[in-house]
Amino acid sequence: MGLTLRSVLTALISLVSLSQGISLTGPRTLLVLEDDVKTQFQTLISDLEARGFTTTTHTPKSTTLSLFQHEERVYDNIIIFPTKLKGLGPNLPSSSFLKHATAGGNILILLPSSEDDNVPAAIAELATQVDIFLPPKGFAVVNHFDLADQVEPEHNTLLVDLPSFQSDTKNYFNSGEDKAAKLLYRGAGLALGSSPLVQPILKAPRFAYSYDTKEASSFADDENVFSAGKQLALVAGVQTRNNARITFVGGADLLADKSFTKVARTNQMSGNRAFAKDVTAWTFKETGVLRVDGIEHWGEEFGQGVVNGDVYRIKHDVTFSIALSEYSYDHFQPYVAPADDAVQFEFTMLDPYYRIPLSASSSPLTQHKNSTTYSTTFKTPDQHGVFTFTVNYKRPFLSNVHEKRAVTVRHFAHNEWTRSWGISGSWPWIAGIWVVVVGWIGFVGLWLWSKPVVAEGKGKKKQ
Amino acid sequence: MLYRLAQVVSAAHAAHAAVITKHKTRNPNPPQPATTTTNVTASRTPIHPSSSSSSQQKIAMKLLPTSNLLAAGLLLCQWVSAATPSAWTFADATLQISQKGAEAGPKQKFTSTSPISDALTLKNTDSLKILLTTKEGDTAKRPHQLFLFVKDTESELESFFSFDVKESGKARLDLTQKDIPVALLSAPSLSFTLVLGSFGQSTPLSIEIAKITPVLDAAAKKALPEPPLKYQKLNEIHHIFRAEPRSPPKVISLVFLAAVAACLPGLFGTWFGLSANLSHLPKSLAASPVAHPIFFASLLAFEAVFFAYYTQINIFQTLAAVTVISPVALLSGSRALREVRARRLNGER
Repeated sequence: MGLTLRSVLTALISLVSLSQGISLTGPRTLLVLEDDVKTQFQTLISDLEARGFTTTTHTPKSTTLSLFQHEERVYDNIIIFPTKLKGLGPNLPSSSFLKHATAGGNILILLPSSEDDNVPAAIAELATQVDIFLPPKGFAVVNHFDLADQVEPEHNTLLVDLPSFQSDTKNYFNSGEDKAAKLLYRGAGLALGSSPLVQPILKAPRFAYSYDTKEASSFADDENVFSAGKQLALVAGVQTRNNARITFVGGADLLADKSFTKVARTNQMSGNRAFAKDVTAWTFKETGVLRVDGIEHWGEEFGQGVVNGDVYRIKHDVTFSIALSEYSYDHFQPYVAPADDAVQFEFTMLDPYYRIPLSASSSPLTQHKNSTTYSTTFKTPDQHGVFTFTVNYKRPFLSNVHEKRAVTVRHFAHNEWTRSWGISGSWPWIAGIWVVVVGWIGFVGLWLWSKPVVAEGKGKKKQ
Repeated sequence: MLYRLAQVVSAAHAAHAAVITKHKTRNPNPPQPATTTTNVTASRTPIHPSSSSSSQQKIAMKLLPTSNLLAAGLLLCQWVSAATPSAWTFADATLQISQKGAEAGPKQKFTSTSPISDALTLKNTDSLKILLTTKEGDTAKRPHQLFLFVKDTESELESFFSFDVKESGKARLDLTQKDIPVALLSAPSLSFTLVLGSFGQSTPLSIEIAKITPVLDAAAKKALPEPPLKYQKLNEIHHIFRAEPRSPPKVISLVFLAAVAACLPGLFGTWFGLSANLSHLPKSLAASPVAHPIFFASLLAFEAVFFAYYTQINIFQTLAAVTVISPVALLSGSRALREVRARRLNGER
């Protein structure tokens, strides 16, 4: 009875989420902006609404705004637009953003593009808390090498290539049709700490640098340069340990209507609009979310008749398989790991005894419709104890997968050892036993039935 | 004023709404329609208000509203001058590596076309000095950006250092191992790239000037911190199994097996050689036809049970079998031995 009720509820919930077809976190999106800013981001907001997000607008100083009600998140996603104010209102301290993220909500923060605008204190504080460092007011990124606009005197509108990553990282940020499209960027840039939770999404061109426009107008000396080159991030994403996402965009113009135009120099459409979709989709968990659809393991001892058993024997072949799917906007699809990456599997008792790659299986035990089954077969180590099947798959831009299954690995049973005759070194000893047995039987027979040979005289033959 | 002219040209040639509006907001005067006639020539050439042509442009600005034709002609002039744009470059450049407490090393000269080809090393006691004079075209001038980018040629990791530059363009950079980030020190080779650039239209310059290998002593190598945790594929681990128990070569086992087995015929041979025989067997069977065969069979049965225990059955089955056989062996044994005693008492043994 309870089971049916639960399955009906699950079916209902999945139906609801299917009909909305959006973010895994949820559609409720809070826009923190002033009215005059909204006009600059019409396309971004309408694109989000077209993808099924429901937006609520509040000004930063709003007194009626509350991120939590009855200790539950009111919004699933928050977008902080740039503001002229030095600080956000009393309802938006940096701790409220952290609380929102701790509860699983996502945040997209757009920093002002103009070096004259302020970054609210709460945002700067939040940035340091997640290992992102913002330059003080007055900094701007310039690039003298690849001018977006030949005549712009400030050289601070950058032409940036779409993000590309190492071959072991999945790229969720160039889904636009034109892969060669350039992005228009204007802003101050970000420096990132070494935390693995922080990932640069868009990096500055190689010779670009961020400098203090007030102090170093004639020459960029050491003290007035914030960062330069590939060390300077323009867009950075943080994925917290509970898979909530916080994205910082160094210059809000990147996602503003005025950048969704043709690039003057190349006469091609800029890639900004598609990039804006990619960044919001990743931040609001429409992409890069992994799901484990099933874990199966079986051993040589019982074959596929006993799946997910509790006990395995040492030195036996064991097969482990995990089915992974990833979310893409409105559906789950099979997850395919990048070519140079590997879904790794560990067999652990305190330390990993094995860490081996899982490969996509063509004939899994159980077929999952929308997932890839990764599997491997290995020989259990010659060490008994309680082991764990572990898949700890943490990669940039992907939600964390950390699955553990504990099993017992037993020693040989007494009748599983090699028999003595199977060991060639024991053959003389076994032969010795049988020689004694046969000799003794023979001796008994002779003792019972041997007739003494009478020697000359009366002597008796004694044994 | 200078920029205004250039912006108008650009805006017209780009024929792009957003770019035009952006420039309009900065430029109180709307663009002159006349300039559209020159956009073909202006489109692919950077128009630069460099110092050499500035007077020319000022005239152009004054005349622009009065005569479209003249303006077009002057812009053409400007395009001609722009065909030979000035570029940022440097002169008198030297790189010197000197050891602490020792004489200064040789000065390596390099220019924007010929980098240093020698293999250089930087030890932890060395200091590296780069001196140069920056120029825009032919005149010594300070650019806004004069950086040395230091790149690990293997991991592509890159850091930068900015020069001290005087207004006259004289630039200097001192570098020791301490200044270079630790992440780069473990690199097999560092590529030094000099970057000059500034506002305006002059072409910036980036050129690789040298490849330098950082040499770390053992202590410094040990002190290098662990690289920070990164979410990526980890090294594979494969369990190494303990060695299987080994037996001596089979030949040796077989030789000793043969030796042991040969003892049995040896033993029986010796017994029969000492005139052992079974001559009393018919007599015994006649005297006690039941006891003797059963006694001997029960002994064989014991051995059979032990063999079965060795190969198949367990201890409980073995004990059960022994419990059955033991009284039989006991009873028949006492009868058989009684017959043996009878023979002895008859003096037949």
